[in-house]
Amino acid sequence: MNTEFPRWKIIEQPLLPIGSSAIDALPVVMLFLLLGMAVYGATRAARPGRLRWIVRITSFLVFVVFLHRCLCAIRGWAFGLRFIARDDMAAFNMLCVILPLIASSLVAGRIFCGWICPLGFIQDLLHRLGKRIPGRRSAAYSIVALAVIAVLMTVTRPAGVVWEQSTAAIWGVALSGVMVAHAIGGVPDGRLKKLRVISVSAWTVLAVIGVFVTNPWCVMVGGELDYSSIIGAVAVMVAVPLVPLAWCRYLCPLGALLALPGRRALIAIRRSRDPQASCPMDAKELGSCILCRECGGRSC
Amino acid sequence: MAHVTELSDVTHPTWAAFMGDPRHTGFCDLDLPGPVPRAAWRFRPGNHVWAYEHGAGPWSSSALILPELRLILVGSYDHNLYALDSGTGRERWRFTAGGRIDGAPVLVQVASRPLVILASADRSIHAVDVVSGEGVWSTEIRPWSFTVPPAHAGSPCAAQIDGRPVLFCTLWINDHRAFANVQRGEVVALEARDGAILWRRQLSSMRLSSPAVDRDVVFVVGHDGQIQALDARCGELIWRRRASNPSRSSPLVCTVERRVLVGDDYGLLTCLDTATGAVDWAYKAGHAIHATPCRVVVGGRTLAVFGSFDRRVHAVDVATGEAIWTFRTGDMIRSSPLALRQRGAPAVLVYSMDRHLYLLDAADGKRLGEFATGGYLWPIYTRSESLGSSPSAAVVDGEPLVILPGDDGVIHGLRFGGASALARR
Repeated sequence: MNTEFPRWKIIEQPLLPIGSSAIDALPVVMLFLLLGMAVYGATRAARPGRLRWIVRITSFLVFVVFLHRCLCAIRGWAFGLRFIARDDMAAFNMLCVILPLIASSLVAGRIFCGWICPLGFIQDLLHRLGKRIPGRRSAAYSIVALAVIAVLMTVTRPAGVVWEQSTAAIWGVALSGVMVAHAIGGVPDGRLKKLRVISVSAWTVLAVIGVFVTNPWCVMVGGELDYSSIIGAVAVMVAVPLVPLAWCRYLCPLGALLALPGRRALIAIRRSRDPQASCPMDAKELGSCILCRECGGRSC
Repeated sequence: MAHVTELSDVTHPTWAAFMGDPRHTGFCDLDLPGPVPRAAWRFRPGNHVWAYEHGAGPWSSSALILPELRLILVGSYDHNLYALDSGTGRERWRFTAGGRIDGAPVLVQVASRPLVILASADRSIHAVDVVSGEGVWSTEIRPWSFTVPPAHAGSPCAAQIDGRPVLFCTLWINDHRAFANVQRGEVVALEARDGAILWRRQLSSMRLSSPAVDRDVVFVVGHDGQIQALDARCGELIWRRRASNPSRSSPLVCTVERRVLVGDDYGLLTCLDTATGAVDWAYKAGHAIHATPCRVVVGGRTLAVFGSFDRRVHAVDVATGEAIWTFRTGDMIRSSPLALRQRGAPAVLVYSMDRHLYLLDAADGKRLGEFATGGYLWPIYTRSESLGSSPSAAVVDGEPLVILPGDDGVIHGLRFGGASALARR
């Protein structure tokens, strides 16, 4: 059979369907397993780095490559709450991802961000590769990136309603603007991180009023090739050679949402005092720590 | 006046149901004289109510066209069924139901009296006299209480069962009381004569798409991804299959090929055997398929043509699942296409969310003409919930007439003519 689009979802049928429906429970089961491995790795593992690679590669393969069901955490919670006691199956379908994530953040903060999120994994890989790009720290690089995003938006934006398909692109443009500010300098990183609060607030309002908000991870996890998500993803890829985990640091609404209960998490990382140790998030408070332990710290 | 009979594969003297017939083939046996559409008239129902509900669309799934009475029938989000003059677009009468009318109405003839049947969000099925606009009967599927929100109703369809006209309707009813909570997606079969319920069967706790009927078998697709075939006489389950993902598409039944086609939210168009439900093939579009495919025969080959949220129109060989052609539009497509002819050659009409109605050559997908409507009625559209309307067509006063319920809240009556210039709004 012919198709115009690459089938990067290897499995296109529900493997663990709920009853007679086509709603697949396997991605949720895998999420629980991976969260368990992540908590173990963050707290007990002698070599958390190796285990972290295994968990992240497994997560990428499961959620991006193999399983066709979209893990809609960011939008699903706002839509799903409407369906409780009205259409419980639809409510479960939308809430079954965000509820375990919030529960995990109460236990271990933004552990999902550091150990499972496929978008964070891709950013990490691209940052390592991007270190070789000359001039990536210059303001010119950021301005060119912003211009590329603007041209992409202009050229590819289809006719349609105002809010449809635009949110990921808007957030992508915002991220490019943050990169410009970062490259030019003069704006403290801590102040830029406060943009997360604005990001999650705006996202919440849009989702509650019914806008079908998209974001860069829709391209990978949902397999959505709408122009907005692609532009958002391109913006993230362009940003990370400059700043590691740029999306996670400054704008990710899911990360910002998980940071809220994460401030009172049961488990946290006490950062190592080794001056050579680096933190990919440059975390100075619990809301930014993703428990990756790259700083050499230990759980407490 | 069209009778509800076992329809042949070809002829549709009227457009009397959603997708033209109970099997949802979407085919109208008329020949457009040219590729260029022009607006013969427009209908605006006055001041639009500035209220938006999740899932609301300005109009029902499609309009009915009754040439012998020169009448257009279309439901609306403002609870009205409008009857318009097909020559002028002026309102002749309106019937007000208790809720939104999302599903296309269906025409039935009962004892020489033409009735239009509509399913409303007020949890009721209404029968209205086509000539006078007076209500004839109403059947309440679930009584109102303060915990019962508006229902979601598909487009009813009608078929002759044991020599009498029977209606098949899908409704999703919810009563969100803490105790005795009700979430029912059910199929209801009613006598067209008086609205008496013959049988009802719950298929899911989630919503259901519009049913299709072929040879005493009712095909229903649920939003939970279940595809079910029921005996039209008693509602007994014949077979059940699961799609790859939740589905909001209604089925297309190809009688000659003995196949039923269903799209789903992942973008797969699945072809199943009507007798057993065995999967024959699956074709993947780039994004969700909410539209019902239409059936068109080109050069002896039967194609299923449908629009997808990947902004493309796809034409697929029903026998093999092979892609024949695609046509890219400017935005997502959620409405169902219409198959007809243009100067003797098979063609399709497709309405995209880029506000354009496209006339395409069914053989190769080449654009023949287009018509632009206005901007979307509301600034918000909820993907996967908001309804999109589809074009319908018939021969009225000796000339083909296409009715397009636009996303701009306007009913467009279109005539087609020569190839000098593309028509604009």
